[in-house]
Amino acid sequence: MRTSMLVLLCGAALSAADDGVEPTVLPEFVDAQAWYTAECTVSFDPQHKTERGDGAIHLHIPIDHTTGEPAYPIGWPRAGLAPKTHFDWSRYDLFSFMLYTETSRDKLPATTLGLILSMPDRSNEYHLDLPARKGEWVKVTVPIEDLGNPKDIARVQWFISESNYKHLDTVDFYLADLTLGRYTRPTFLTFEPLERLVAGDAKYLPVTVHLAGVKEGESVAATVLVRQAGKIVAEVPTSMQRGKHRVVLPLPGKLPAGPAELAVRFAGGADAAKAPIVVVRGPFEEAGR
Amino acid sequence: MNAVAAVILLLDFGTPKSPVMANWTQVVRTADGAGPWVGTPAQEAFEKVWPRSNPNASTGREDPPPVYTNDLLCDGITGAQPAALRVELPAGDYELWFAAGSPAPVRGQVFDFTVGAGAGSAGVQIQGQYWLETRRFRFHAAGGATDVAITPKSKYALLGMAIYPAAEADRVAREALDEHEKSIYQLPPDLLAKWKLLATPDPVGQMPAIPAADRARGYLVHQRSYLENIYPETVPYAAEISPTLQAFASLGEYEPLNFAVYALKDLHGCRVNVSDLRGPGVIPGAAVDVKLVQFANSRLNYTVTGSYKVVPDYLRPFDTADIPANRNQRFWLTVHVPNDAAGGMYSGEATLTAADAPAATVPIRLRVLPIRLQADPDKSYGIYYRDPLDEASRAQDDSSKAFYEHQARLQAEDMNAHGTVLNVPLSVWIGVPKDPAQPLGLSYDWTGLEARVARCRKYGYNGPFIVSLNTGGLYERHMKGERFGSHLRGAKPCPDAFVTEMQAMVAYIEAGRKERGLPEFLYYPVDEPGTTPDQVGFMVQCLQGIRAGGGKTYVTADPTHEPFDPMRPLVDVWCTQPFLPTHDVVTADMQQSGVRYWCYPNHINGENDHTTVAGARFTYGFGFWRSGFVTLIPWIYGWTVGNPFNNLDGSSADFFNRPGPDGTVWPVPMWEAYREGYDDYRYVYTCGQLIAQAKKAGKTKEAAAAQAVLDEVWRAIEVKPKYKLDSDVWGYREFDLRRWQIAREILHLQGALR
Repeated sequence: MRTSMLVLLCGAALSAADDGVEPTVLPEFVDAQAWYTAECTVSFDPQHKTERGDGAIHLHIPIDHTTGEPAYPIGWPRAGLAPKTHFDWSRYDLFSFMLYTETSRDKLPATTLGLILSMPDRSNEYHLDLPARKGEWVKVTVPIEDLGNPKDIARVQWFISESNYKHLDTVDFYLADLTLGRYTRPTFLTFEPLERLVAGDAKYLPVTVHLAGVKEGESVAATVLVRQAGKIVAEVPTSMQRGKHRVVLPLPGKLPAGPAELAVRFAGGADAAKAPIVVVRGPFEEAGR
Repeated sequence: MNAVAAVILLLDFGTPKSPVMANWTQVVRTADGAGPWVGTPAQEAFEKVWPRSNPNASTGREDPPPVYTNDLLCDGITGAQPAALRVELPAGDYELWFAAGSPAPVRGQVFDFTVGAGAGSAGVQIQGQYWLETRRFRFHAAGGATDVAITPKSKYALLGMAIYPAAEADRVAREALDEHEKSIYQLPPDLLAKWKLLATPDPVGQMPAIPAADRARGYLVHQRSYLENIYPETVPYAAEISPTLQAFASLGEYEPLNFAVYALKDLHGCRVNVSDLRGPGVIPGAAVDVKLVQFANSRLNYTVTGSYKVVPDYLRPFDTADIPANRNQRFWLTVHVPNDAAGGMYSGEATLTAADAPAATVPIRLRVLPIRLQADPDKSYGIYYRDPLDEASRAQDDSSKAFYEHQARLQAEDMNAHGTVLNVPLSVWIGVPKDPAQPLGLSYDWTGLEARVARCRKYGYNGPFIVSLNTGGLYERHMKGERFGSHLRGAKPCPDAFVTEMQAMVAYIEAGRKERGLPEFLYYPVDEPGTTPDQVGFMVQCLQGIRAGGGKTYVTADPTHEPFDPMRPLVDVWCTQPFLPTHDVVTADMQQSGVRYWCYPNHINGENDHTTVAGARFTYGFGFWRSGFVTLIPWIYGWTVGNPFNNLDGSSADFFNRPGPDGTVWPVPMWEAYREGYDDYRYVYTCGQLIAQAKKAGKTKEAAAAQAVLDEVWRAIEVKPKYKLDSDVWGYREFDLRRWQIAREILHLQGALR
């Protein structure tokens, strides 16, 4: 199962991932009639809305540890979409939505609400524990690349485990701004060094990149580099295609200890993404303090 | 006596009525000398046909069989005395193949025997039931009557045998043997065809430029951190081709090194030898253990069927290895630094030789640190364990008994060498009458348990001991014979008499324990209870009874699950899978209420993923430190169903340490990573102890500098309930850099305190 996601709190500064996204709202995203339910109810609530103003799909879940399925009275109330013709989301880069939570409890349990995207092959099932916050909107973004088979999505389901709640609790989830997004220009969803601490005598640094906004089969030229004290100390030109890759950046093998910056830029452009790293003296360098 | 005359002999052993494989010849035990046996050897025939689907009353599920049988593999012949088959063969070179093992239930038995003909022979060692193996060897027949000798060290169990001209080996394999090989080592062909083999795509994808010298030689040597899995098709990093293996270690420490060979053509007969490591002293090459990392089919999860992938699974000893073209083979080296080694830089090399390619030399540099790591007495590393002594107690012959006792000793020593003490769950099982009108009549022979406790003490653990009870028997007694099922599936609250009798049982055990001076017991009534009100209600009854009997309670459940709230006042030790509650809550609760928090991190023990090596090290080291928990006790030291090296058979996958056929331990990378985590925490603890000493000695500057490093490492830990996936933890090489930062402070403090 794959579980990565991007989570942005509403009100946080926009990251690069939010720029240049062409949104698509499927009709089912705002039509409660298209949703199936079990042990909960779903309706469309025009009052709970974000800046986009579309209203929200409202999941109302009364927790009951005595009813439900006979074999599992403490079960998994759930709702979602299971279209007859499976979703093909392979043309998109992101699936995102806003989540607002209300509850009768003083505070939410550690595990609140889960999201599953199912494909016919169970090994591709995508599962996410959503970081719901009581009385706050939270943005959830799922990179489509992380779905094992985005061409054949059979079910998109939100669910809770009643065992995480007390009998007779109520919890209400509002799902707004359900959107499929496609980047209109090359954008890094992920740009992360495999290691944030790097030995001065290291000969390479692997970097995980997840690139969106590039058409299938096409590639863009980019340069991955390391900067220390404003000076580029290592760089490698590379050609990147859409999706998740690992780029292995050669290092000179004698970087001074101290903070450094890993960055990537497209041809002739400014840094498209950055990440801090720290260089330290390793056990095979000359010791000194 | 009639000799069997044929060029290709296919012999199916079994009872006179058991199924006979199509086109194979039935061979049974006869009392009158008929058949190919020489004389009338003392033998028994057996038969066990396993259906494809088997109901499991405890879980309510249908399970696959522990071993897949067909008409050849469902039956066989066994004996403890030597026996021989006489066959008529024209002169020539032959190959003999045989299938061995027992599909029928058998406990306490090691099948250890050799089959020989002419100058050829092959031996097999099989522990217990449901573990089948095949062997083959070649021999020359002079022509005429040829004896096939079966020589048991304990007992033999033969299912089938094929003898055929060596020149026909490929055809016979294809036509007659491959389906049995598949059934034993993978799945029956018809089932295997339905399972899906999933690829593990390489994140880099593109092969780097291959140096001309490596191309000419026919292979690349490369390396990655041992925390990063190398798969058959993993693409080497250009910068890691022709590596120097480097590590640092303290006195007495075990430290892993590794390299991989990426074959550019088929390689045969590969060997790895390690030289002495020379520096201020000599670390002999014999102190470096060399194993290869075995790729194996792996399920996607514990009991999930239908899909599998090829992953690096266990480490095994080897003489030679063959490496197919365009595939990796990783070699795992473990250096054991002598306790009295001199600190400094040591150098040596590993040499790879192949029968059909030039050799390669891989330099090794080891920095030995003059540090004696200290272990925190307040932290304990235990493990759930299937003790071979249970098999030894059931052994039917001396050879099997000796084998299991030897295996038990090797495993206990292995645990200690990995920082784990013999903190293993024990059992005080007392039978109770089914009729509640009859008195309980408690009676227990303490001999076995006393021996077990003594053994646990010998291997580093002095309690408290987890002890399971006959909770199920008491439940059935008071619930009209009903069973509560796996994880209390069907449990309902019991009459008060259940609690009273639980109290009486525990009081009886407590009296016996104290009388014998045994350490404290933690009573473990049920494993992983469910969360329904009935299940929790029944647990409360169990815990009330235990407490009333004077015992302490041990519960395997997540205390942050609110349905468990009614149990909270009755729990003395919470043992939970994630590191939850958080550090501050755990430490405060332990201080205020005396409850203890243990963790059984099954997510890095292999039941659902064989590859969580980095997560294993982090859980055992920096994650354990950060959590505030006091004991790690994962399930389990080794779990096997059916053939321990076939993860696809049986109701669940095999995982974690495997039983070498000779009784030795075949570890997994995660187990080695447990030790590295254990060492990581020893570095942390040692540094902390030296900081305290430095402060007392007035070395405040050095103490502050070291504390700043520890604080920085503490802050660098992104706290999570579970550290499982590579993405949950630090980058692979960061672990050793963090450890080095702490080690460097230890060296500075040691210098300041001299």
